[in-house]
Amino acid sequence: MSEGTKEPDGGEEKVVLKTHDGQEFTVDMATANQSGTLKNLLSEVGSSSNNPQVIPLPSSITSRVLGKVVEYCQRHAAGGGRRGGMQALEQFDEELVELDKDMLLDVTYAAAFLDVPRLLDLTSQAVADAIKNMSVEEVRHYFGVVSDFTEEEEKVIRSECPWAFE
Amino acid sequence: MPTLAVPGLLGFRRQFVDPEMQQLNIPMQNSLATLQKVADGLITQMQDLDCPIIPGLPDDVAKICLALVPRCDIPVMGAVCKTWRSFVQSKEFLTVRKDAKQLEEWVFVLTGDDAQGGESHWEVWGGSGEKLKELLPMPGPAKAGFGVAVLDAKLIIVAGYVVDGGTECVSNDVYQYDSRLNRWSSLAKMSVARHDFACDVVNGLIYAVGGIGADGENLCSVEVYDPDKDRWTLIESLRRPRWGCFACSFDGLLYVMGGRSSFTIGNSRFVDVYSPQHRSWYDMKIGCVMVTTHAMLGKKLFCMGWRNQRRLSIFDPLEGSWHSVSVPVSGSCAIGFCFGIFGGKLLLFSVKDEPGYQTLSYDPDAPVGSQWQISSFKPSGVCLCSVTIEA
Repeated sequence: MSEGTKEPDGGEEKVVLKTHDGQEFTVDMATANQSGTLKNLLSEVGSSSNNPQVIPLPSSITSRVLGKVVEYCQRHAAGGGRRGGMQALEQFDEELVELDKDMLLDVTYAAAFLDVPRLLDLTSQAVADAIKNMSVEEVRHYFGVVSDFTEEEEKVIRSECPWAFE
Repeated sequence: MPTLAVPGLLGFRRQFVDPEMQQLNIPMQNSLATLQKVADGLITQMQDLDCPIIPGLPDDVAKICLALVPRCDIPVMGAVCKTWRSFVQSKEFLTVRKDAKQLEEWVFVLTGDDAQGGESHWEVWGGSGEKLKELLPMPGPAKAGFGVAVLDAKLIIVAGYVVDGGTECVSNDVYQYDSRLNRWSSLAKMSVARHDFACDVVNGLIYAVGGIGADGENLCSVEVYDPDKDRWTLIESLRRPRWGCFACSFDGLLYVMGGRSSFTIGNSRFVDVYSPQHRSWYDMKIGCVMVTTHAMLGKKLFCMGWRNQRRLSIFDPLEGSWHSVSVPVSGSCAIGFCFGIFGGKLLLFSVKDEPGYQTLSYDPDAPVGSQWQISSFKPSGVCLCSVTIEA
């Protein structure tokens, strides 16, 4: 069944996304189709309103994270034609990725797993923006990356790029 | 409410479910559990569990995130840990940045107090390159007559003679500068020490052609540098010695022009062309003489001759023809130029200390009448040499 197909009883096709922590998100097909992964899956299994397909999600995509992704997909399924046009949509995107680090990485992960390319662009850019203007120590702390340089190596790097550590 | 027993699901299940599960008449809960298992399996595949670039992200996603960081912040990433450092200095990093349309152009200008190159340093310009305004000094003694090449986003300085020692002190040292790490390092030495030779990159290899050797002899030897092997190899020599020449590449061929050749009296008008594919040299008679500066822009070669600093000579290798464009310079006739490239435009830096001169730019694709503009970039001293590096 293709996107937007109405069923004989007039109900719209729905699909249920179920997170590992047991929450269910019922979304319409236009929303689900924002995700390449779901679109592929549903093109094979189909879904309907009285008998919606349930798709279980991996444990790394929590209900809080999925909520963000669904929010994005719903808004973008509606497109720029509603609620204030493209400008409002851009503002929505900007605000959507104002997240703390763990949430930002989790949503990035979910966008990659569910194959929502524009959301992945947004979150990847937000990760890059976070790195911008940080010092080396701040980057290490932010991402929980431990330096594995020897003392000698670190000394040389510091002498080459003293400003990177300020 | 939901069921997975829809006929269409069978195809989907077949891709993922264990064979033994298919034997059973799977109740719904089992199917869900199986899908969960499959999904979790995919996660494990996506994660590089050994040493992720960013903990919590698959490496291919993390690589895109790092590639979106502005160029001036790349050295910060290179100092975080070994994994980050090895990624930012890889060719893959450049490829990901290119695909994400993140490559930034920086102009590197070797600036001196005077045209002799005694006191000189590299300056960087590229809008956001403020942090790297001046490079760390080049390693080794101050040199002149060296070759300059750009390879894999690195600036490579090849051989030359030691300024303090004079032309009898000729070097075969090779250095590279990587703006991603803000680091100079040594590469393999050349087989033959030389200065005032022609140097350019064809298909990812540096070619060094002719020049003047350690005993002042004119050279016809040619060597090529392979960055993957960090090795110089002597290849087919020129048929006659040539020095003071320059090189450029089009379409996988190396063109050597200008300078002098022991075969001709005075300046050589011949172009020596090397085909790496056929491993052979041939010549053409359509070169230019006494070129003081040159640059490749688009698919054309821009030159300026010593005789006339108010005229650009432009070579189209497809047509095999030259044409010229006059430079709108007023004032001092003592002006001289060194070319740079930025944003598809030719920059004309002054090689003399001309306080009133503002850098001219020439855009060959602009409508006639607006091709010449003033650039906001002006090196702090005279321009000895300039290259443009994307990363």
